[in-house]
Amino acid sequence: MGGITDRLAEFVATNAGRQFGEEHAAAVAAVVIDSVGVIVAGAGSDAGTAALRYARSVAGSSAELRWWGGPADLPPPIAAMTAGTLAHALDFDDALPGAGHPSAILLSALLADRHIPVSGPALISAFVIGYEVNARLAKAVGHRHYLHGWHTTATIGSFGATAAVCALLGLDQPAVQAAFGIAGSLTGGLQRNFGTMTKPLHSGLAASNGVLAASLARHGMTSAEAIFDGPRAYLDIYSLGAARPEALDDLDDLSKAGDRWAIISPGSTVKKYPCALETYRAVEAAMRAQAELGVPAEQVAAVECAVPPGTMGPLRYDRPTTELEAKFSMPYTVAAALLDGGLTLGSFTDAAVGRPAVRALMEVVSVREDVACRPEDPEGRNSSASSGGFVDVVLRARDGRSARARVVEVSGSPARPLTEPEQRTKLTDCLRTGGRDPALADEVLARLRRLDQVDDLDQALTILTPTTVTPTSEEPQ
Amino acid sequence: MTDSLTARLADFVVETSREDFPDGIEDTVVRLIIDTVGVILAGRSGGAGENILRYADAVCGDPGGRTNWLGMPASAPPELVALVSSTLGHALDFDDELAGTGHPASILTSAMLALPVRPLSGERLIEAFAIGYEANVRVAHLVGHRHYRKGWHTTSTIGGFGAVAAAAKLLNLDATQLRTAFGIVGSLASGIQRNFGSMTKPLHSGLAARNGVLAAQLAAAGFTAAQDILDGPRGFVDIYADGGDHPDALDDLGRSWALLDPGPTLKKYPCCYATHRPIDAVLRLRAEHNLTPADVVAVIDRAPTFGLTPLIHHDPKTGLQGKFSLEYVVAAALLDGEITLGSFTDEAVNRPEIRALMPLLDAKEDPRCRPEDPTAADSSAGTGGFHEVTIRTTDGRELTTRVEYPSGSPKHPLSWDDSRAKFRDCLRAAGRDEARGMALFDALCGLPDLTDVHATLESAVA
Repeated sequence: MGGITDRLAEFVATNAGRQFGEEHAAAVAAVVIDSVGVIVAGAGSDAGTAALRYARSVAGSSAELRWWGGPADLPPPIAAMTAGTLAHALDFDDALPGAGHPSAILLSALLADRHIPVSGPALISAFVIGYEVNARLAKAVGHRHYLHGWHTTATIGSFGATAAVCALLGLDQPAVQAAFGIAGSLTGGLQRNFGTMTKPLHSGLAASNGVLAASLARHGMTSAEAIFDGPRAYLDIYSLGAARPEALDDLDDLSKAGDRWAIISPGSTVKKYPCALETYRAVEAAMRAQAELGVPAEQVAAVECAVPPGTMGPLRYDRPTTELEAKFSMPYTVAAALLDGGLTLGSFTDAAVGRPAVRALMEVVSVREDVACRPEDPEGRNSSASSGGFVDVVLRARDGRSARARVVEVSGSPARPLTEPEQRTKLTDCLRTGGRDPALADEVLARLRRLDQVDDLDQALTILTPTTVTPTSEEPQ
Repeated sequence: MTDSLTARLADFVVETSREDFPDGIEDTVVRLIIDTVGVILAGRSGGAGENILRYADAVCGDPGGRTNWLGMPASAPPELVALVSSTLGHALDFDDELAGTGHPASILTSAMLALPVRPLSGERLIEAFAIGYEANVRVAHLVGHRHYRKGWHTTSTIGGFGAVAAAAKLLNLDATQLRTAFGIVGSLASGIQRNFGSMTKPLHSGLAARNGVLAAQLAAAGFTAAQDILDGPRGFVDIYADGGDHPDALDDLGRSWALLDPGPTLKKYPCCYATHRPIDAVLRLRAEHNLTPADVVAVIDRAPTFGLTPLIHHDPKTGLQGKFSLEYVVAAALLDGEITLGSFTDEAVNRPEIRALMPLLDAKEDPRCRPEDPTAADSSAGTGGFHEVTIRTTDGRELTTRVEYPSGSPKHPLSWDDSRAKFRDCLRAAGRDEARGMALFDALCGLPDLTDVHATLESAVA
């Protein structure tokens, strides 16, 4: 057994082109559908608009567009960067706890080069491999990496994208090793940029880094042979000495057996609502309690939420005033869900946040962190802020009645995957936000649910290509 | 906010203009830019240069129409042009250097020339270069040596800050936009020393230039980012250098200029900087005493502590290894009377008459040769102390000379003749038209008066 770099490169090279079974195909199809939706929706965001504006400003003269809305004649790394930024612009893409948001990065990287047709089976194969490398390296770099201030989605996501593109191109082991070495000199991404458009840019950069590293390696660029191994190598520097290389120990078994791939276990959490995952369980519990009482929002006198300790960490805005703040607000998300019967992208506009009815309802929402809500890990030492334990909500109506509801698993998590109607609802919402015809949802779903039968994914998605080109007169400078 | 490091640096870049430059800045920048154009033109003769150009060909295709001075389509995205240009610039390890900062000139020049700012006058280029250079040096000083010791390659990680400052100057970004661009470049910074000795090292230079161009153009396109990327806990300096070595690094911003003090080093020889002083010594003795290789029985080099550490190839077989072989460069200096790009082909390294001379070298480190820092706790391999070289001749003479500062360093700057010879060497190595190329050299000597730098560059290589 060689070093980490050797083993990872061998893993990618030997599994490239591997045919995965139905379970893997279905898991990839679900997150590809989701990623396509959020990439399209990104055009309706500020960061997405800025990314597309940049892309147009550096593109050639062709007026042709790709399905995700960018110019057709962009070099692949810039195409990947743009699509990857669109994907994360609304914070609505899927998540693998501890590893960030891999799926949209992988899709953006794999479809970046329009001259390389990608079939459904080829995509599934490269995707599963890239996802695995992303998951493994996120574990190997350890939690100190994130605590130090790096954004794992960007830093480690770059290696997942590198692995996926290498697998797609069928690079041999030395070339994969070279690509990892190059990627090791490409990865940045600071949490200091959270709350700005540069956060979604991180997702785009990860996709772009993967495409760049793989194609430079393909064109003969050399790099360190063992980028991950030993002192002052990637893992040492980026883990601050707290690397956990044992996270890669059973990679070889995985190649043989294949039933513990990260895409299946633990698998992605697909976001049902375009806001922080930490709000989900309270939102759903409140809606269930409201349904049980059958009262409209204006009859609600109090909403008392009990959540596991740590839940409120990211939820910094009790009285948000902007759409971005509202995504990280428990009172707003709960109040808006009760008022509107759910949360959609339309719930997160500055105007929606300012509605008097929702402001009034926010005043009756209270939240407390309670150790009783996570009996197995009361302090949340080994739990992410959105998982473990349960959330209890007591909803009291003005007529004196009350109802209690408890939610354990987050909707969209592997334990509670989105149902087909929920998947369709989200895609429709995304299409509308991205300025596409929402009626296309059924056709997109019909094609992508049978991902393993698609001949050319880029072609299959051309129905999403925007029909109107935004006039270039809006270019600043 | 206005007092943050990030804001102070942005304000300096936005508010400074060439009227604020002390005497000497402009001349230094002209020398640096000419040198840099030469090494960029030479870059295609190295493996990294060849491969980055092949990559660029593949992603650009052949749209037809005009090409830029690097031979890329004029429509190629600026970030890609910057990546290619500065990878070429560092491909031969022949570009300038400033201790503690790395190799800024190729990064700055590449970033600025990649931007769609045309016509670009020599004056504006010089102005943005000088300001970007200073910004680069200041951020490098802010993070300090501890950043490098952790394994980062400062040329790459910090070079992006200089490039973005220079690019912002040319794009006329305001202070808010520049703080944003600094924020973006802080999320792009990367490059680790583990990749030294591979083609990814020159790629680092390309990445820094690309990062600067990308960040400046994204800020111009309306992206937002943290406004205080350098400052405070979990800011850039904290994450990449535990808070850095010199929080006061910006204090005399605008009052002292690194271009003048300590001033840049232009490399005279295209090989490891640690070999430059012994090469100078051998060439000097050879010239002063009219030596031929047949006269020499031994070459004894006494080097400062740490001064020989990077010179790891004692029996080099390739040109690249030859760059890190004291045995080879001393033999080549004795035989050829010069060290040029042509000295570092595989054929040149394997010449039989060279192999015969290589055993004559006796090199040792000696703490006496670094009296101010005998253990090299605070010194780099190529600077500090002195080399003492003695040549023993067949007729029993012992000829000795001592070199403290190598040719090309601020104490012994390259003469214009040296610069011309280097430029010509660069053109030859890359198989370029010499007459046209030297006409470019002459034109660039008048850089401050050029009205369209791109046109001048393109005319030389078209």
